[in-house]
Amino acid sequence: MTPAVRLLYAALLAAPCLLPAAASGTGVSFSADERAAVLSHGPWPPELRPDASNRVSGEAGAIALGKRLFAEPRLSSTGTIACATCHISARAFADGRPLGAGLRPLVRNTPTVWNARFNRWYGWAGAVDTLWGASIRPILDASEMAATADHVAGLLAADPGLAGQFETAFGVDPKALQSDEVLAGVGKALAAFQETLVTGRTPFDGFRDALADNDKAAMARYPRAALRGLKIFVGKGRCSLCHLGAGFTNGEFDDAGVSYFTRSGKVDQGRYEGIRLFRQSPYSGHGRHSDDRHGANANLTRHVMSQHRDWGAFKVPSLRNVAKTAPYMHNGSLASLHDVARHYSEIDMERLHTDGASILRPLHLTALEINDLVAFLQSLTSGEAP
Amino acid sequence: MGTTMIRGMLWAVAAALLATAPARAQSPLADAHIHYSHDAWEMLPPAEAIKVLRQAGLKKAFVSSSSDQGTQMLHAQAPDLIVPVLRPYRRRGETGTWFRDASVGDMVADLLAKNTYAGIGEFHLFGKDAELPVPRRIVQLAAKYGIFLHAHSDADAVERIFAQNPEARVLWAHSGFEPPEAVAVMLRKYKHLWSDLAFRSEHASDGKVDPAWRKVFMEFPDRFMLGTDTYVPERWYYVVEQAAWSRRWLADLPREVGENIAYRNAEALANWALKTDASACASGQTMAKDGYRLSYRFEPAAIQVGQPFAMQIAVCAPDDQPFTGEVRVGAAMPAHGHGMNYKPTVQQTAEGRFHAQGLMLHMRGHWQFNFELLTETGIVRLGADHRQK
Ligand code: HEC
Ligand code: HEC
Ligand SMILES: [Zn+2]
Repeated sequence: MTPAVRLLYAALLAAPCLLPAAASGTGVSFSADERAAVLSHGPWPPELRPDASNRVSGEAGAIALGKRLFAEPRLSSTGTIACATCHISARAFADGRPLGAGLRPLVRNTPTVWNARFNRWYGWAGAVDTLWGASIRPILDASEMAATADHVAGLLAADPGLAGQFETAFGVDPKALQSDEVLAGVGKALAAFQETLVTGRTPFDGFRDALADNDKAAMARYPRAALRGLKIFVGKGRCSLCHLGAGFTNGEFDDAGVSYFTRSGKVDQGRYEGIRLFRQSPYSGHGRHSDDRHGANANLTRHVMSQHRDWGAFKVPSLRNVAKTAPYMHNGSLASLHDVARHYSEIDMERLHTDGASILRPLHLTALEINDLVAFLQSLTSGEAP
Repeated sequence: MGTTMIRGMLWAVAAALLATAPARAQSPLADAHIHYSHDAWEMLPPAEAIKVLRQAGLKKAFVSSSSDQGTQMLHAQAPDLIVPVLRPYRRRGETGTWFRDASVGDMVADLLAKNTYAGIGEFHLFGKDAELPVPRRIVQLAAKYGIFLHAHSDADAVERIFAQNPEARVLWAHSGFEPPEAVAVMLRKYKHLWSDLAFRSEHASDGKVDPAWRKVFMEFPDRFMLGTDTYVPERWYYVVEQAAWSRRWLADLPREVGENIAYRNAEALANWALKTDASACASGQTMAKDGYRLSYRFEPAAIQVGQPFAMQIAVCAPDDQPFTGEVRVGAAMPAHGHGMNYKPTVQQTAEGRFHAQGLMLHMRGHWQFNFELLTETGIVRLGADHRQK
């Protein structure tokens, strides 16, 4: 994209009301199927339900403790790495790097924790099925924070301020608990905080609701390029098959034709390893630290089936605020949204198993269509989210 | 005392009871008289309630609740254990008014059309109130669906029910609180009358069966069943104790009779009510092959992409023979060459009836549900198209 085009997009997004009619009278119209497909990507935000597996979900005391712990480097074994080291609020709770880096370099890109509460599975491989479990994983991971349950329990025991906040949140002095129970509590408080991170309304949401209400004037405010990109997204691009619903993900795992060799020449097994780790995890929705082992999510996840196609499959990421979380894909190998659009446009079919799912195929988009698709993805950006 | 405090105490009691319950395999029991009403589910969430029932060693539990939502929640958690019975009450406190309230008949008719039940009850009905239009309609609905009536009634009301429909099947709650000789008179007169022992203590003490009751048990070994009657939430914490108490006096009867009362009579009544007759295999989505007929129904009725759902399945064997095999279910998107990412589990809930859990369709479009009936002679495969919106 030339700087001039880039500027134009910025103007389109920033001052939508200055635009002439887009949806009406521009030749871009929707069939009944397309209309239904567009409407299915909302409304936003969805209904917020507390997480039954986390008894402090939504509680103020836990949220305050979680917010503090999120920025607490002493949770790591060296006292140097906090959640916020990698999930940086000014970078949309990602880190802007291709691959994460904690105490050691990581092999995966750091995803945002915006909208984390809507996941069924966490991490690129879905090794955990609870937000609180996904918040414990980095604390114990040798490459990230390399701590232990004893280390975390020791920190809370030694710091009266933290201990007091823990007692406010859970009604029990952390010193009276086993280390793994303290760690589970820390995960649940971190989760309670992250649950508050729900992104705001976007230009797309405005358009989608206007379409639902048949409000032509409001529809006209949506940038024309984004509108054409949206048509590709729900139409010939078939993007909505995987990036579905208000969150733009089906929450499952797929092969989008991205290499899964790591930089050291090893293979990132993706979902295959994820299911194996999930089955071993003591922090899963049906594990003993869960507060509702028979909830709807835990009831589904325990039915998960390991398949050959899981090898090298990665989570279908949400696309909300995607413009703010470059670089892209599980290994950060695509620098920009243009690169992603070009990747799908010229996808290498030889990378996809011929007997496997036949959904992706080269779209051979024109340069203008690529720009349109990117304009659509940019219209998924919310104003208030940093 | 605040709700949370009561709740805390109840949890402690439950924990203590669960901790003392014997770990060894217990002889199976069925409990024909469980209620799980709104105040119970506030105190004891469905998963915990099921834990209590399993801890008590129950094979089957007949559950009826005010409102029916309680029964549905428990059934969703443990379809193999819970035998749903439809209580004609929306909330506690309708025991003395329901039979004059025409909207009750409509509610019962609607729910019967929507869900599967083994019976209607437990309702409270005495004397000539049984002649009123609402109870008459209930008796007709039970006949229409081939299910029993669970009546907390005096002998007079029970006789009036049988006068309306001699073919009705009635489970007499608390054996009418009648003495054993009077119960025997009724059982002799009506061969489709069963009797539950809920909230009765006179028939046994210190593990010994009372001689007058023993006579009736021996004369009617196929007609009695156990019951706890969890009419207030606190009584949920008595289920385990009551089961242990029942096991002691049942052991004082001849083995066969003891086992009948322990669970076989209840199981037989449930199986009769939940049998897969032609109508069960003909409602919902239906298909047939090689004389086998299968019907299924989604829970919730409209499934959503990306959301877990369950399935009720009914199978009928050729020539109206009972289906005794197993069922497997899966789903695939033929055009995409992939299936589901989850492997559903299928539990048998009654003869020819199954409940599948762990299903989720992760894309919109054309799916195919595949059913495999594992019969004695081979596998019968059935398929159904489904468009996921
Ligand atoms: C060293 C960088 C780093 C640190 C420190 C870190 N994370 Fe992460 N986070 C990642 C990476 C990389 C992933 C993806 C992991 C994977 O796919 O296996 C991730 C994934 C997650 C996810 C799952 C998001 C999703 O949408 O699936 C959550 C939630 C999360 N982190 C929360 C936390 C919390 C809470 C902390 C602090 C206790 C933390 N992270 C510390 C890098 C980091
Ligand atoms: C078959 C399912 C599928 C389809 C169809 C699909 N995607 Fe994806 N998408 C994925 C998966 C899986 C990933 C992550 C792949 C990886 O990291 O290896 C992904 C990643 C992305 C990302 C990167 C997001 C991030 O945060 O890293 C973007 C942007 C994206 N897809 C957009 C699209 C667009 C636009 C289309 C249509 C042209 C599309 N996708 C079609 C499954 C799909
Ligand atoms: Zn009663």
